[in-house]
Amino acid sequence: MQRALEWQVTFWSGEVTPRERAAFDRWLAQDADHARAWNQVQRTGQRVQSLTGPVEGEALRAADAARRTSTRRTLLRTVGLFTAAGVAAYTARNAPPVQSMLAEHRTRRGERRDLLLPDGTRLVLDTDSAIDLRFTAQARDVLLRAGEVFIATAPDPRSAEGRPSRPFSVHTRHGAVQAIGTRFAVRLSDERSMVSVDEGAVRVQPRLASAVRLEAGQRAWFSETAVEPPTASIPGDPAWTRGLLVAERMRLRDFLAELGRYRSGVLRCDPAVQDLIVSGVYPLDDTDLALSTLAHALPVRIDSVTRYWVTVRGQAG
Amino acid sequence: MSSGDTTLKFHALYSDHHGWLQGWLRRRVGHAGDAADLAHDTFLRILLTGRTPEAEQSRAHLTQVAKGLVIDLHRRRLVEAAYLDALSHLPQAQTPSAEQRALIIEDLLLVDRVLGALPAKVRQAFLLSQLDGLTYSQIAQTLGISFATVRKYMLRTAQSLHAAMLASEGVNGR
Repeated sequence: MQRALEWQVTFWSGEVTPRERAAFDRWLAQDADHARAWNQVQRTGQRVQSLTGPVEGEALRAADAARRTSTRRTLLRTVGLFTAAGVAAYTARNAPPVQSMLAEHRTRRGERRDLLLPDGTRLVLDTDSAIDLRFTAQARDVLLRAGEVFIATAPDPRSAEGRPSRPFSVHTRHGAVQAIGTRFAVRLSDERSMVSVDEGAVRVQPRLASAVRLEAGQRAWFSETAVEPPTASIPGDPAWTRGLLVAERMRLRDFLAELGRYRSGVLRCDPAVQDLIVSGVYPLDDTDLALSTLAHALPVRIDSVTRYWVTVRGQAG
Repeated sequence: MSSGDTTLKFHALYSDHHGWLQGWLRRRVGHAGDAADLAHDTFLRILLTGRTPEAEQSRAHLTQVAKGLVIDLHRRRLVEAAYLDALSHLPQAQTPSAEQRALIIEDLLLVDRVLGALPAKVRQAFLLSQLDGLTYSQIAQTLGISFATVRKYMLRTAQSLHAAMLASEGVNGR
């Protein structure tokens, strides 16, 4: 049995020499017991290998990532979370707490993280975002669980070794965005995802509809069933990758919704001032400063009960 | 000790501590239904092992067994959620049936349990080999260990997985 397992491990190496192969054939033919042992090892080995495909493999990887990041305390807390939410909630597709916990990389509110992936691709995670990376021999996949990600792809180092280049894609629950030598950003919201292309092109493949190609300078929302007509994207890397919120004639309500993604707690907008127009550049790393700057630029005042409960009202109100 | 004594002791353990254990679990997992199930499983496990603890160690023993079950439950839910989540990225037509899914989840849990019992580097070597498709030379380079060590690690994982799979064949009749 031990010898059969050793052969299995040899075959798993991906580097079997013809000589080893011949030695294996001799061993197998030598004895009926060898063949029996090998059959058994193959049977359990196949059961293991059926779990290494993209879907099951991703589950194993996610479970392993959770093992690495969770301490005993969070482990127990998580059980509480799952059980309180109930079976329905955690089996529901993309329930946020589960998603974010399993993600391999995540950012807190107000945090931003710049990553260099194994293939040389630059990936920036925006506030309150979560991704899983799944790099296999066939593909380079980023699963976007929450928030927004900016990507500047590098050519696959494997193609330099004369092997076929692996496609690079970002997946959301609404569909996939495949890069065609490019710089682009993908943002996930509840109902749909948005892709914005700065350089190159991408192929947007909604889960249940046919694919659409987007070129540099375009951006479009997509759902599971359709890609909406593209509009012009803002040139350059997204401002958030530099810690800035650039407002160009934004409604105050939309501006505050955007700024609110970068801070903890509640940021509300008094309906009386929601249609005021905001333009300017605001710091995302200091949202308190952004708010006080806003109060200088517009006829509004910042009403904070605590740092975590802020309302922007009209000056008279 | 006669079996009558054991039964009596078990009854005493159950009637003295069942309510307390359920309350303890309730605080731990935050859900009454799960706490009731886990308390039941804790007593069942003690009954099956046939080793009822001495009275003064009752609660320590109960919580020790219960903690293990809480962790098992956590891993199960984690693996289930991870698998269902991974499935959600597939087109609906390729989704396996509920029965197939249940079998796959049991196997995933088995592999997860085996991997969890191995040292981190051994586990990592396995994942790099089987999920990332790296060769042993590439794994050796990635982890900064020798080729022979990679082989040794892989053999250790292969042995554990083989043993666990065979044991489950016995149980499930597969």
